[in-house]
Amino acid sequence: MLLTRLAIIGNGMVGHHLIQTMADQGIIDQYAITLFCEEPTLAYDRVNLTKYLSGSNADDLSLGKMTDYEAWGLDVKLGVTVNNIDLASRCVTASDGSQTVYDKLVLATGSYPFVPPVPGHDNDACFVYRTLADLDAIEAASKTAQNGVVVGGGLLGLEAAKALVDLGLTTHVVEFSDRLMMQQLDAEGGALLRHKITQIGVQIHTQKNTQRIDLQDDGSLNMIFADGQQLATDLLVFSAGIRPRDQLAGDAGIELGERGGITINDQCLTSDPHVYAIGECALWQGRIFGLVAPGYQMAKAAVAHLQNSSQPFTGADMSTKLKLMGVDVASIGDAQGTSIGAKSYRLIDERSGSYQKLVVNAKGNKLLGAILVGDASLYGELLQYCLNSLELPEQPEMLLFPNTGEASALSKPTLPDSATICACHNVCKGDLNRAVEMGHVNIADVKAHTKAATGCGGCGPMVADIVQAAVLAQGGEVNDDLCEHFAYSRQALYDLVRIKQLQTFDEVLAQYGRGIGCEICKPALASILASCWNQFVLSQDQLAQQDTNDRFLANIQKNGTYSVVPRVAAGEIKPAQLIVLGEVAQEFNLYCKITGGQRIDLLGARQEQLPAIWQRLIDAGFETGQAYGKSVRTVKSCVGDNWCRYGTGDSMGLAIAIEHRYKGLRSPHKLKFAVSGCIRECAEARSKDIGVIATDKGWNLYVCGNGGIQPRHADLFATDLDEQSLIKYVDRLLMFYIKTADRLQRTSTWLGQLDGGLDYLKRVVIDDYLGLAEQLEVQMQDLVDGYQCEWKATLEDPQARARFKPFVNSDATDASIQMHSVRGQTSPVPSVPPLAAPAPRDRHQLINLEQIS
Amino acid sequence: MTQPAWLKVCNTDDLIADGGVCVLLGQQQIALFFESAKAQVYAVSNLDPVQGVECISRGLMGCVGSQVYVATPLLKHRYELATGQSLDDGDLPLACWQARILDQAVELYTAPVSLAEASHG
Repeated sequence: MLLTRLAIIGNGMVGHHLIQTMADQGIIDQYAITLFCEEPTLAYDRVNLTKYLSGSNADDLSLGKMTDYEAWGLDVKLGVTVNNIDLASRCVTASDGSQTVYDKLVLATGSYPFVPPVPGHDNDACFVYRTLADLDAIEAASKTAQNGVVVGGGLLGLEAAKALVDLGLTTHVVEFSDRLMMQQLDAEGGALLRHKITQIGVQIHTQKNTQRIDLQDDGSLNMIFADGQQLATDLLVFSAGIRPRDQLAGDAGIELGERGGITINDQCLTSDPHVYAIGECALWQGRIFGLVAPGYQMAKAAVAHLQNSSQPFTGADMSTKLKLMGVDVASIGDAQGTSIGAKSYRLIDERSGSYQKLVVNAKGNKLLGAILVGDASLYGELLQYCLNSLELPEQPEMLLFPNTGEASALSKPTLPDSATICACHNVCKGDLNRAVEMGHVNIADVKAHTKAATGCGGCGPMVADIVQAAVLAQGGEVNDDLCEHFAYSRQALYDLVRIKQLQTFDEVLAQYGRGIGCEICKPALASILASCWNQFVLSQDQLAQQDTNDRFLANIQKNGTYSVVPRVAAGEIKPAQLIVLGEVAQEFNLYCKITGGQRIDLLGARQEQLPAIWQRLIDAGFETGQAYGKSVRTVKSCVGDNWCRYGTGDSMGLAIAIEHRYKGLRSPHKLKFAVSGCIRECAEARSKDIGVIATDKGWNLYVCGNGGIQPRHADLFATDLDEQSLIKYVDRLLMFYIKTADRLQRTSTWLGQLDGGLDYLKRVVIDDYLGLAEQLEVQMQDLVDGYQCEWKATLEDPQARARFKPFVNSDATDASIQMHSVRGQTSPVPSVPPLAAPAPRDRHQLINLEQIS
Repeated sequence: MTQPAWLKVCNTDDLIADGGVCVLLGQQQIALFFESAKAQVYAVSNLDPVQGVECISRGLMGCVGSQVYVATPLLKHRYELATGQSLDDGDLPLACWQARILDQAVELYTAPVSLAEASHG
């Protein structure tokens, strides 16, 4: 088969979507594709660009993967710009000197930031906000800056302002019009948003027409406005709108709009029948679409036409929901109410700081648009009314009071199957139902299959509701019960244990469970009880719930022996202690290994040896390292500014303090910490649940990272903290995690499932949005005060100590454990499982019950 | 060939409520589990047939409906305590013994063995 030669110019989000769509449809191998990508990296998530400065790296944001592109057979020209298109010979000439002949050409050149041509706009300290390179430049400049100005108070301008705030600058926003987000909001909405953003410390200046920007002697800038006022700043970011990148097309002779943009038809074809344009460079019916969702739809339309079928682009809904500096903002349809006869309902709640507006038609039976500021929880529902022209309730204003009964909530089952739920990926309710019918019965599976809620994520709650309803309709069950013995989630059980002051597994089982429990609920409740009351885990009434690691306070190894890991806080260890560890290992013939958590693992201890080994260790001043528990493990650290010539903070001192504060804390899963003494990050803090990195002003706190199967970098949570605030935040965050996580859920997945994600977590922990902060701190302090070394307590309890004997009827040791020497150390002899003969029944004429009954 | 008979292996004090302990009979390790609600004791081989390690007594007791089982400590394979049958596909069964409680004594129904190493606790 002759391949179609397809040239694609541009690899932004939309350009990538085109390629991804072709791959998903299994048609990509029908094309010989040459991709011109001007930036040095493949497509990345520009919508979430601010995250690049608040913890994400380029990899986190990347969309296009070189390995995929190569597997799909693309010829990728990275860092190459196209200089010229010759429509007659269908040939593209690029900056690397190459000439590429095409059968079809797709222009996905995107847009560039508009920079008003005021004198001084090209100063060194003036930036735009569009690419990773722009962000790198802004970040570099911010190091010597105190304050920054963003010119433009629209959606992108506020995103840029967020970036400056994240960089620690005193931030100003300068806007030409009389309000923020002019395109999406009305005067009231804009005013509320302004109020909220001002509260965060960003200064807003509206109705400011910048006349010129003067360079001062010290390299800083001074902005002069038309009204005569001035504003001094160290750096300036223009974010005053976008302009389509249409010059290449225009030079080639392709038709452009009067005010720019490459003219396209419904198939996304330009004036040349071999050339398509998609995304922000394209002009459809006189409009440029500056959002990603319409671009995706254009990509699909172009792919359909390439395949000789049709999926025309018919315009796009520009409704949007986003969180700007912690403030929910949403705008739907005709938000300004400019349609003829439009009427509005407006609810201003000054106490909670929210503004909600419905725009309805003259008859009052259809929703034309809406604005939500401060609380956008109604977005999904209102969008459905608007997109599907659904009949409004008798009193439309009741939609603003969703918890007041009859007029409330659009019931999700009443939505038509054609209702678009996810605008980003154009997924309708029917698609979700079909996914459930195909056997995707949990929300994560449905998301993965349909891509719903994986764009902006705004439809997430709605998707969850619909999936849940569909699963129930199929007779399935969506439940978060811990197991068959407890019809409660872990969080519900935690609350019950706390509120009812339940002290033992048997009490909880008697009041809220059934049966005798199992290997799931027993350790989970043992962990909850320990997180609440910090009891001795080897007391008689707790013994049978502890998994073997907790029952023997050691990690079981594959041959049934255990490992011993004493605490070495932050990896700091005295020579005398090292000697004791060596002596103990030698005496008990234990295998020695340095762990990843900067401590020393002694392996191969028989269960009956554990008390004697620990007696020696505790006598030498060691305490349990709790390597066996779902609990705080270690705080990894670099040597910090005591020794390191680059160190900016005392990472050792802080790491030791943190490790001693949280040691013994039992949690839904293991917790790992690290503290780095400077930005070089030798302690790898960003791969930990709690990571702390020294800055010249204090400590940056990163949360919810981990290594493991699915590595995840921790997110930046708060910057330049003093130690007191740092501990306060960590106290609150950890107790909130213990309170709300599922069993065996690491902090990273917990954060991923928290509605509202990182911003919500910040509101709970930093802003005390739920009013829980004090309680969480008190609970943590109780646990800290109640700490006891479990091994010390065990050795002092004769009954507990006796439980380490392998046989209750004999003092013999377990003869089945066989060791040999590997590289001069002891090591388990590989076991041979008795796969053929189950058990030596014949020797003792042991009677199998099946035979006698 | 001697006939099997009831043999005391330990006292009820040695058992753990709703958990396991191990006794040694000759070279044979036997795991004893005690279901407190029914005052029922179960005896199965201590050998994990998948891992080839003597560790069953260190597993957790659980139930599915009325079936009482042990989940192995290493890989959480489940075996029904009354029959030794695997509740997870494919695993070999555990050997099991009849067991009972008489006064304070825990007894197994087994052939007499040399108890030189198995002094009663």
